[in-house]
Amino acid sequence: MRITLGLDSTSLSRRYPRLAILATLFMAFGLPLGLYVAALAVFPLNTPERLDAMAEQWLGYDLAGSPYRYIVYTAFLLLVAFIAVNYTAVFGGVSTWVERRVAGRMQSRIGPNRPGAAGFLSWVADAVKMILKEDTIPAEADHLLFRAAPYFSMVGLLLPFVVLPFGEATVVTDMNVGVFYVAAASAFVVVGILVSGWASNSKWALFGGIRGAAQVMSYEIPAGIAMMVPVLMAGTLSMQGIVRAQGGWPWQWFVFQNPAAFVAFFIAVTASLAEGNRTPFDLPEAESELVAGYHAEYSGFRLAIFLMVEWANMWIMAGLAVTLFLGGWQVPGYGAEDYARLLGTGLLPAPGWFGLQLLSMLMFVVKTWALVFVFIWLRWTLPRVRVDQMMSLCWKYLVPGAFLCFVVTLVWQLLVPPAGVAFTGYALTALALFVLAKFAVATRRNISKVAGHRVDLGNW
Amino acid sequence: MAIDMKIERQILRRTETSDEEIVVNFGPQHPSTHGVINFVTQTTGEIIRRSVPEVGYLHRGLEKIGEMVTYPGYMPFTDRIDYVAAMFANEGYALAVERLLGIEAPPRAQYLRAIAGELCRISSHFIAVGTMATDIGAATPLTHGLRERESVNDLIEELCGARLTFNYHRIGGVSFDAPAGWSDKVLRFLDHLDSYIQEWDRLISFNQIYVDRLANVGVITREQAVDYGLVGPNLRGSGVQWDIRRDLSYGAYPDFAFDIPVGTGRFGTVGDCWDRYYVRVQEMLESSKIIRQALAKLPEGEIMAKVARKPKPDAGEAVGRVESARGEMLYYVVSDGSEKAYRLRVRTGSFLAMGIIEELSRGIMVADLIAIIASLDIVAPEIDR
Amino acid sequence: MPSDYIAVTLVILVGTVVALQFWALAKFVGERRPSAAKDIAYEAGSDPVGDPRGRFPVRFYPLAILFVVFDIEAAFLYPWAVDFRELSCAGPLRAGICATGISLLGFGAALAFLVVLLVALVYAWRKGVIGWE
Repeated sequence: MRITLGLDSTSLSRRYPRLAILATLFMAFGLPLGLYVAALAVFPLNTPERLDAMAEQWLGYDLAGSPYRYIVYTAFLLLVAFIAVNYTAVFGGVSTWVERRVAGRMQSRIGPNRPGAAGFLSWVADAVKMILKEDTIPAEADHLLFRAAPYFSMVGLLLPFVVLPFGEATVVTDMNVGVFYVAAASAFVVVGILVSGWASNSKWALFGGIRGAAQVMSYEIPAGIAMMVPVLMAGTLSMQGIVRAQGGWPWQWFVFQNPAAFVAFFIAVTASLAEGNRTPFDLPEAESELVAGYHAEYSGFRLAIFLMVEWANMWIMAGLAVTLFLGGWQVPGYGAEDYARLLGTGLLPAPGWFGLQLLSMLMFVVKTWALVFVFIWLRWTLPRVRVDQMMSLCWKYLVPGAFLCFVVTLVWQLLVPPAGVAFTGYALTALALFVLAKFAVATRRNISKVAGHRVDLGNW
Repeated sequence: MAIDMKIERQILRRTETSDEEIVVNFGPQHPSTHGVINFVTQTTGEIIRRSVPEVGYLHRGLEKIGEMVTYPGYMPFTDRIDYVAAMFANEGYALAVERLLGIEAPPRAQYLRAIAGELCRISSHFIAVGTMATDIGAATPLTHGLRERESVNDLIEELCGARLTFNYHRIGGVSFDAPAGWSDKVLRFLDHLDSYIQEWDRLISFNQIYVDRLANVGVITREQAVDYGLVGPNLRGSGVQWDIRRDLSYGAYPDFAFDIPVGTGRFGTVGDCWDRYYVRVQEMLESSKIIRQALAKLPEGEIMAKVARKPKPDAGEAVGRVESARGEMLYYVVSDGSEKAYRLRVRTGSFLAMGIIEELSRGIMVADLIAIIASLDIVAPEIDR
Repeated sequence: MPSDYIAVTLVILVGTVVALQFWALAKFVGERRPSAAKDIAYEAGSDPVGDPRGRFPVRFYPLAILFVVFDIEAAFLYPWAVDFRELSCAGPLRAGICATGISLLGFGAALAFLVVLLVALVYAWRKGVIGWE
């Protein structure tokens, strides 16, 4: 069967420029904002107790005693899960566009600029194209595993989303073993990689799969140990608990609270780059070596799922680092008591509470996007490491380094008084600001060497 | 040829000693083989036992064509021998036929040839170092290199109207004189280039990961390089200071002072991939020096010697050797006194570089093979012709 | 809380449904023109030689073992890390600060555990498991 849509996004946006801009605005702001508002409206209700109270007050129905209590609760959770999954898909799409635009800028070319304003709708066009593509399965492939592999990856991607806190009240569920759960669940993606590599019956895919398995397995160790540093500092495994133990100002973030955490942050980010198969650790799909690596045989929507997982994984990587080390959703100047005061004791919180919640989500989103930008930026700057270098970096540097951070944090937590911690916070923040300023000055100087004293933002 | 390949593959299959070993075809459709070449590779996991290049996918019989068309008529075909640096392919053929005819291009033409050739070397080396960075996994340098190459292409387009397959040289001279104001544009570009190479070094050459990937990888010793008959930057990367422009000087090159960069083993061993890479980067600066001198001394006068429309050289043979971007490019032309060559033979740098790959590939890793192929700066049509 | 895991199950469910919906969409609108050549595994344009599903070098095996060792170790350390302040203090904590000195049982035992593991790492390192040599 062949379906021709008869119009492509380029000619559409040429013919109806205003429509294109409206569609872009909707997709760029409406969709994410809608998701955020939906999350904000639904997530806080997401406890059986609150649902009970709501049913009691508004419907006069005693849900708590009803046998349907968990069905209603499950239905609400389904809505929550739906929002989370949609967010993942939208983020995966948008970040491909951002990545391509940033790459274009870095490579002194334009990047996608046709569908929608500034080419924003190109990710939608990509998705449509992927679905329209033929879905081929090699004859010699293990059909069942070949089909199943993308779902493994998809599930591996979605599992950490369950505990990733987007805001003070916006988290699907705040597990008491959050960090541990993330460490376990994020390894699921590698099952997809390994299975797809094995099932494809292609040598490139096999190489990619094995490399992916070795890489993700190895880097799980330093990531896990580095992630233990914030656990030590907060004394809890709950993601929300870890964020609550930090503050809004940079010197209250864990990353600046002790020198070992500062190092652990970089170890964790490096390890998560490797776990997410991002450059310089893109060995499982190394284009110049393995053509496309583990997804060499995939096409159509299955490839789309793999790619979506890959890009949406950036959000997990960045979001985790932000949550554990960079203060998460904490808004500077607002503490736990402000949230409690605005929440009040009534059924529905004051409007100010919703405002504060949105602000906290904004904090998280801004920090996470900043880190995602760094990942993108690294990808288009660095070459790829070799397999043995990848291994020795992990086992000879990161694992001992992470252990050292762990031990230093132990000692630090036991011996250094709060005043010392506060001083370290200020000192390390100042150091980071100094490094950033130096970096900005150097960048400015490099740009002006090439482009004169003018930063050209024309092609955005 | 085709039968030989099958045999090669069967040999590879038969020599499999352990069942952990697999045979992988790197190519012909592979992103980093730089064209349609197949590297039949025996590997145990990531470790390669050996890799045998299988060439000939792009064979178009260009040498045979040379025996079927007139001497001037073959000039556009030479472009297709090495389309990344077509100027040298033109020049080598022009030199060979000129020697056959016993004529020499006028001085101005020889200077223009040198200028065009060195511009072409810059553009070809930008492709070489850029694709090398891409093969190592850094995508950005190639696009920056292509941007600079565009400037060169613009300059050459102004000179001869073509951007890729130039067909600029003629037997006995060149087809077009430099347009008015061209030399100023060239100088402006060279000023930019000299500072840009520093930026390039900051961008990629001294990147720690890049250096780690290339240093001590694919080391070709001095003796190996000579034994395998490597030419050009691949030979110079191993520390052998041999350059046709200086040692068997031709055209206007005796008039210019320039250095011949060689591999120094700055980060590893002399003759490793990084050395071969950096020789190319430095050669761009040397080319810039040569062009500056040539523009300063550019003589006035004719750009074409007196040549018949369909020259009929006396029976005999002649050799034209030029230093192409990929090393020595040799044309051997035999005339039987007619208006077509009796025999034409082309010897190219990339083909010679293919020979050493099997030797280098023993016991290295898959990623190193890619680095080695990239560092030899292979252009597939130049191998197969 | 069991409700946490209801959420996990539901997310898996919704994720699979979304993925399946892609599949259904692709099935409905996607093009489908199978051919024998298309079904050959990709090997850079050549016909594949031999079976890729042979045995893979043993190098990965010690690595996997190493992973199991260290991952289990991390799993053991997590619960300890949560309560380490209470465990490593000789007396009760006062406002999160240990005034009574460090208890060797809580703190030292974990350190000894780490040291044993580091010995394992050094052993593996010396044996050349790491780094593909």
